[in-house]
Amino acid sequence: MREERIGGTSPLRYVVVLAWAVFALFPLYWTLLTAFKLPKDIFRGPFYLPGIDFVPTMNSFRYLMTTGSSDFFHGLANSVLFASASGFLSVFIGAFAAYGLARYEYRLGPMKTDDISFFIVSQRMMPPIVAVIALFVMYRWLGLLDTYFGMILIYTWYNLPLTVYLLTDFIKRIPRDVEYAAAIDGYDRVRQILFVTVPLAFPGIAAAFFLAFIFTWNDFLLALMLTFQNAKTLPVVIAAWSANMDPRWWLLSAAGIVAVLPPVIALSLLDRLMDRQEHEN
Amino acid sequence: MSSVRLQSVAKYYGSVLGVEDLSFECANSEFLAILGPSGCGKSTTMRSIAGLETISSGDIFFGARRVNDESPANRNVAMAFEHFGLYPHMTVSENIGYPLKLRGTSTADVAREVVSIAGVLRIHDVLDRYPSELSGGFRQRVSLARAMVRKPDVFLLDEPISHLDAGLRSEMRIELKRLQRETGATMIYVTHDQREALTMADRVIVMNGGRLQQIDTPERVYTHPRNEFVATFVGDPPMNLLNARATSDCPDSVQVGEHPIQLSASRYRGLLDCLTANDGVVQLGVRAEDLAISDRGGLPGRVRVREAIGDSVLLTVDTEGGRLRMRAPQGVHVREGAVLSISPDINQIHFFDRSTGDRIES
Amino acid sequence: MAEIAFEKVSKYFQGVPALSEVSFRCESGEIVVIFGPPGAGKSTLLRSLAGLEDIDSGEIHLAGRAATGLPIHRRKVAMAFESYALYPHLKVRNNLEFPLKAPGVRMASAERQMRLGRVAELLKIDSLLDRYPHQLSGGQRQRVSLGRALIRDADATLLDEPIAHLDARLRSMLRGELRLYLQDVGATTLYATPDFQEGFGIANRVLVLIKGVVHQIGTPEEVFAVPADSHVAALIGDPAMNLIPIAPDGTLDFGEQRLPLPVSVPGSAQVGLRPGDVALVSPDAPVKGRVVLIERIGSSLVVNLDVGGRVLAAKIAAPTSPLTMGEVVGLEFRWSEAHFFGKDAARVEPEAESLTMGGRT
Repeated sequence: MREERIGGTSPLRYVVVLAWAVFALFPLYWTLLTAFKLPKDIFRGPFYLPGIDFVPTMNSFRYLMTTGSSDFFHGLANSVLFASASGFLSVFIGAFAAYGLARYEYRLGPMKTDDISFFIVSQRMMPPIVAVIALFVMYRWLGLLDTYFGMILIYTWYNLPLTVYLLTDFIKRIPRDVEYAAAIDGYDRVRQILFVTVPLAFPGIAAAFFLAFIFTWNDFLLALMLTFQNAKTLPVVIAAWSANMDPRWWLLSAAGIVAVLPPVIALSLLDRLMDRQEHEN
Repeated sequence: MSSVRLQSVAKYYGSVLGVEDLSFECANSEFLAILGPSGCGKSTTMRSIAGLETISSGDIFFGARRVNDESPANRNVAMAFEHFGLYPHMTVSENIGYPLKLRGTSTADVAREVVSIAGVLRIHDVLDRYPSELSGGFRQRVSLARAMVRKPDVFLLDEPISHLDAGLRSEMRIELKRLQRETGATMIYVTHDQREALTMADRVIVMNGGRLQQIDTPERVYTHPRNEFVATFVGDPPMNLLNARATSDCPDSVQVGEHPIQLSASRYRGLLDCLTANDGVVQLGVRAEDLAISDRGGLPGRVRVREAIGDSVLLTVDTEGGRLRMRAPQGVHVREGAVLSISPDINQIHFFDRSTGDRIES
Repeated sequence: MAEIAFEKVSKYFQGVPALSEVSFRCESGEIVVIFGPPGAGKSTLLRSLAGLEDIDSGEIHLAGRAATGLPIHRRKVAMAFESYALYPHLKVRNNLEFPLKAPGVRMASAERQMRLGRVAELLKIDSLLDRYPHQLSGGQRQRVSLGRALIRDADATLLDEPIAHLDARLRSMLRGELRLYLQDVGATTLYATPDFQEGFGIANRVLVLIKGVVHQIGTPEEVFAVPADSHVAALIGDPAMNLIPIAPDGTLDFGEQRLPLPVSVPGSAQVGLRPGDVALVSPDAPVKGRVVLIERIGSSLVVNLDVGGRVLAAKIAAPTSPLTMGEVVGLEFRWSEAHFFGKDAARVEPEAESLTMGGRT
């Protein structure tokens, strides 16, 4: 085809992209810098370039590993646990619901299949802040406050609408004929799903897990309201440092950088898995 | 209408070859078929003529006019595709008149042209219907009418009937041919179906691997294929190719397995160069209808498959020269597994150079 | 391997019958071709045997058992889908082996490999075994789908236009090879196709299905020689049989030309004449036609003629002087081979004595 590029000449496009990149990446860059600065460098600042404006130091990280370690690692471990567990559970449970909604027709009173789908997704349309007070009261009554079980439970609930929505769509995209072919080849329903549907839905499953992981990882409100000591997560720990005394920016930044790592690792792992699946599909 | 001429046209997609070294002419009012398997470059050629592809080198002429740099709209070509492309929300007459309306033709003139074309294509009864109400055959004709109403210089058809059922395809073949003759349209017809091409076209271009293999009348493409590819692509069943070698036993003959095939001295002389260049081996080509069961002394073979379809019988036979297919005469009942003696019609055999694939002229 | 039986099977799609009281038996190891035009219900028939469609009435028996109520995966049916339905996440070799690894199938790895090799060789897909479906062309995918259906032992093998999307040369070659394979393996096969050559070439018996109704069942020779009604006759032959209406006054209706019938066939409304029974003679014959299309098939010529607005096909040996488009020639019919059909499309036999008088006109 005679192609015409939309958007005019090249230099302008690069300028626009560059401007946006700076806008989006600068906070991350700044946090990264701050994590390696001494308090004096922070307050005397601003210094932008390591080695040139200031001397980078591992001071903050050392603090995290030693004095502040108990709190920090406790929060980190809890976050990892909750994000993984709720991610896994919400995907697992969500997959069952998604398969049903994608493949069958339901009727629940006046509600048909699409209505039921909407009902599930709508759980997340309400801002959680509206529900927190009620959740607090409910959890206190049930004795679930500040418990691991309680947090995993609430985060699973929090993520189910997302996973069901994503997975229903993914499973619908898998042509039914392929499942029929497996049936004809002698595989019963369960095995059809295990050997054909699940492998084919894998990119969706991976994506859903990752998103659930991220949402749980970043949650502050539910953790703040429903945990005190035992089950507190990293965002709560970091926020506490910020509230207690003069904000110790260097520690906050260091903790922030560390907090970014597990999701990034998770994403790169899942990305590679998804890539392989995409290639095969 | 005008003629279409391609001169040394080549088209590359990056480093991948689309077509190369393509030169041919379609005369004014000629029905030219471009025949070849998928991926041979026939669609690329057609799209280049239409202007949907820019060619990498060479020239394309419509009559005396060089059209390389003209956009598809300016080239005044009409295209008909496999799936009609009719506007579902317009009636048949609105569909047909649309190109003229776009050009700004007056309503009265549009109506006149539409009625006239509808008459030629015999669709005047359905002018007020919608495409969804029509059968495949009618839709095809409406699609053609819409293409024709613009009075294009060239008609380009890309496998327009391949997805229709057999009965309709048969009908449409007659229809398209009649149309072309009555209107004198210059038509370039792309297809992978050799039957379609040979039935409808005045001349056929056979393509493979982006290159022109042969351009000739349907008759000559069938009886005088330029190379092995054309020989086996044209004709159903495909021409049989058997391995033959030079033999010292009989003069002026080649051998298929142990069976000698006697040739005339001049014919044999024509083979000598090829035989010496190929270790004394040559490909012998013969069509299914040019093989007969002989009483004795022929090439021995064992019948592998017998297909009795309607009033013709087709046998697949394994011989020392290779597997071949032949027609058996009516009434002779040959069982699967039987051993036969086969003799070819000497006047209808061809020889092909094993390394180049070209036919050896006799 | 086992027998298949359909007893008065009917299936409706929103009130429209897709299958109407379809009944037939297929013996073990037999290849029955379900032959009919597009939309006849061939796919529906195959799918209802596989369990992919529920039937509205009637019974289906497979290997002696009633099939109704039997879930798909327990039917021991192999199927080549029209949409191929290959497993996108598996390589070609794993696609082919998939049915052989199903629960309940005990097969040694060596046997699996042997079958894989055999099928790959038959369908010429040996070089594609380590590719994924998305790396294959349409024709290659169709062959893999067919291979997956052929590789296993099944009570019924259902092939739904399994070679339709292959190029002509491959199709021509595969027809015979497929039949040999199916016979060798002893597979009870139902093969759906609208293609006359393909269907009649591969069949032990043919079932002609039109708009969900069975019109005829018989060997290819039987169905070809004596089509049960005009609908069947219109589908048989390449080219198909010419069907000419008979006017109430007993003449052949060719627009302005009329030809009185040389035979007396009371109750007949149409006469069927094969292209091979139409001869071309000099233009001063009583019936004339204009050449509109000439097609060469092997050593014969198929000539399409416009006879008073009706198109007839004649199949003749290549003439000494070539015919040209637009030329006017005369036609002669071999009445001894004519088929007659009544107003209800059913076959009608001519009165015995009139035939011997008829001969040629």
